This record gives sequence, structure tokens and C-alpha cells, in this order.
Amino acid sequence: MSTENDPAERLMGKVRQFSEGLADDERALFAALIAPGVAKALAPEDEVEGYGLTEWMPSALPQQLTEQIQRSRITVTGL
Amino acid sequence: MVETTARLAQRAMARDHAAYDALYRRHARSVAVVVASRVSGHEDRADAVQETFLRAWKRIDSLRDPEQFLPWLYAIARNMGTSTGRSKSRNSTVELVGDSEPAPLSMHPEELAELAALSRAAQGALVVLSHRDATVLTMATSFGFGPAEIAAALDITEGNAAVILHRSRNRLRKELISRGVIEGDDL
Repeated sequence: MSTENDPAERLMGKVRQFSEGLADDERALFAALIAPGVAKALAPEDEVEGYGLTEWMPSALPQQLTEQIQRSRITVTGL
Repeated sequence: MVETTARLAQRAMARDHAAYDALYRRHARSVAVVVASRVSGHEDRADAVQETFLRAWKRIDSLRDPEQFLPWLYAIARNMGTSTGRSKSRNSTVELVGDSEPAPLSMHPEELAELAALSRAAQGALVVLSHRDATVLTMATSFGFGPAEIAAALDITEGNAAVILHRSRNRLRKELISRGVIEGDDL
């Protein structure tokens, strides 16, 4: 369970604050930017093409995001 | 040319998601009629319809003959209607599985604010959602996005996003009232 001292939770708060300060068209772009990460963090392990069920708990999201980021080996190539 | 249900079922058996969506749009109302005799309440019926299609999709490998898709689906619906009626009284989690309510709907800023408040009140509560609904709800409550932004980001219609958020708000409120976390007129 995350707490206010949890860096992921603090980061989420800052992201939300940042989002609220954006212009409408910027917010739409920002939503598209973070949506895949949110969807990935919430994906059930046995999901079948979008029909899987997720155990959703609001307080669990920071930890889910952290685990997803740590599991994902994001690399940048071709620069 | 309109594809027959059997042809759509055949494609769905090959894990064609679009075909299954077409089957859902075509037969959701008839499934609702099947579950109606066993489940009372519009939202519970909507949940039973969604759950029927979820289960059918997961078990579609067990469908031997695509011509028998409807009888097979109705059998799942009948079982679902019965089990939904039984489990509602003892299940401490709430199932939120999609949006069989008619779209489009809009959502006012105050409703979004209420949803965020409910989500904060439900911090420790476990809710079973479809993956899509969980993503929509999180985008709204954790990051403050509205239906139009969510719809564009997730490639769904704004009406669908609004319906999911509406139903989530109603079900979260009902769940929190039943747990005694809030009073009926708190929010």
C-alpha cells in the first residue's frame, strides 16, 4: 500500500497537477501519452484481448505503476 | 452484406475481436432478456449481460459448432443470471464490467468531481472491473482527465467513456454506502 511519502504517489500528484495546468489541446495529447502506461499497469495477468477482469483498488496504482516501470526494459535506439 | 451470426461466431472462434464486438452489439439485448427473469435492477442486469459476454469470449474454444452460438450463449446467460442473483447478497466486491447502457451520455464537471471524491473514499476498497473500465476510471480519478480526453487516448467513443464513468460513480457510491463508509446523502 502506498503512502504520501511514496515517491510514486508523490510523482502521480505532480503529474496530475501538471496535467491540470495544461491547455485543452495539450491535455488531450498528454492523456494519449500516459494512457498506455496506465493500461499496462492495470492489465490483468491473464487478459484475453481486452476482456480480462482487473482487481481495481485506487490506492494500489502508484505501486502498480512502479512495478510496471521496473519490469519494463525501456530502451531507446537509433538516435 | 450483413454477416450471419454463425459466420461472426466462426470468426470469433478464431479470436477475431471485431467479430465478437459485432456479436455483442447484435445480441446484447436478447441476452438482457434472458437474464432479466433472474436478475432484478437495471445495473445488475447490465452487469450480467457484460459478464455473459466476457465468459463466452473466454470459453469460445468450447463452442464446437458456430451455428449453435446463440443457444450456447443463452445457456451461459441463464447460468450467469442465476449466479449473479445469488452472489450479489454475499459478495463484498462489486463487479463493473463495461457499458451496456445506451450511449451517448455527457458528464458534467461536478459529476467528475464526485467520482474523484468517491475514489478517494474507496482507497482500500477492491472493485472488480473490466480492464478497459479500470483504465478509464483511473484516467479520470487519478489524473483528472475528462471523457473526451480519455476517449481520444483509449480509442473509444466519448459516449462510451461517459457511460463507464457514470456507472462507475453509481456503483462506487452504492458500494461505499453498503460498507457504511458514506451516508446515502454524503455525496
